[in-house]
Amino acid sequence: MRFAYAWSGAAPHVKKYQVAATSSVVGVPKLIPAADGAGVAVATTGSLADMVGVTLDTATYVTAQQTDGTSAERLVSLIVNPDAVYWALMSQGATLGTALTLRAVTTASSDGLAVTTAESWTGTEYDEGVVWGYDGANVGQARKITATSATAGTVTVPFDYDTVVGDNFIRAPYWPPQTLTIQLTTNLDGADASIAVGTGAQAKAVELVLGDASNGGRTNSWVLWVPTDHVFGMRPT
Amino acid sequence: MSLEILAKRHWTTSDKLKATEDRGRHWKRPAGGYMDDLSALRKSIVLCSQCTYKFNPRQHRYRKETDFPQVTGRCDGCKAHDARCTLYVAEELYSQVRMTRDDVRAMARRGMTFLNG
Repeated sequence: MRFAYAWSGAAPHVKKYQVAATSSVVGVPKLIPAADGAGVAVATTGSLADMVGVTLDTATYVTAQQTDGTSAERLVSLIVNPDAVYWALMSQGATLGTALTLRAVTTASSDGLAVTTAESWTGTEYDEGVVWGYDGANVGQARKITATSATAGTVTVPFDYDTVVGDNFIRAPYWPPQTLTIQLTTNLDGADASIAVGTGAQAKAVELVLGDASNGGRTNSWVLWVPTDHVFGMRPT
Repeated sequence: MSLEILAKRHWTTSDKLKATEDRGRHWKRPAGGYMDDLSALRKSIVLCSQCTYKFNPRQHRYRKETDFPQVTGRCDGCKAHDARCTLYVAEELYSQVRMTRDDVRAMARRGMTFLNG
């Protein structure tokens, strides 16, 4: 995750906390200490409940006195603004950096309202997600998916041009600001875009930055999100 | 024989978090040596306006956060909580934790689609 800005326009607020587990990847969310936990807890791919912040550095957790003169207290710096917005790279799966899958059109649409492919749009439900043109006449155009079927995703606002066989599209389970969940990758540093709409951790999508064939969009598309269950939020839970 | 009453404390969410928060360097510890330790561990460093000029980010391979001219935090030098601190992030980690205005401009120049819904 990469810090973008605070929704309120405030300056970033940085605090350091003891860790409860080795934190070897930067830019990962930390949660409120668990029961008997020694420090801020590691988030999970499906939960950001009571999020504290996102790390700016790393720390190695130890539970014994050190002989090299260093303290056993191991700290990690967090940006703790409850309204902080973060960039998360979309990946096609739990591994960060996995290229997003292209969805090739197999049946043309003469009204630009359907993206018909040879695969299901409901097996992993993409209704209320986004679909955008990767190449072809509709490159760079993004639309909200408003209905899905076993072979197609349907949009209400049509693409500006007909979809033709061979055009490639990419889909993702987000539509800002409607989306309330984002599944994290295994290393907690990105967004797993291969899951169904409505699955994942407590985060609201606020913006999408989508790439296409001209700029490596399969590995360069992002979702910007803000935590919805933050320990310093206005409505702590 | 004295009587001891043991009352179970109810730890709130805030209590638990507060207990794990950094209390800063020990008062006997010189700030300079503490800064050296932080930079050796590649920790992010927050310095207030009175301490920031004493730290040389280039010498320690740090990048000063300039998109946000000020951050809020406890100064790692003098321990004062200040809303006008400067943030330094280890150079090799910076691109992994920050998306700057220049990064976003570069994306726009490459023709990426920005969608607010």
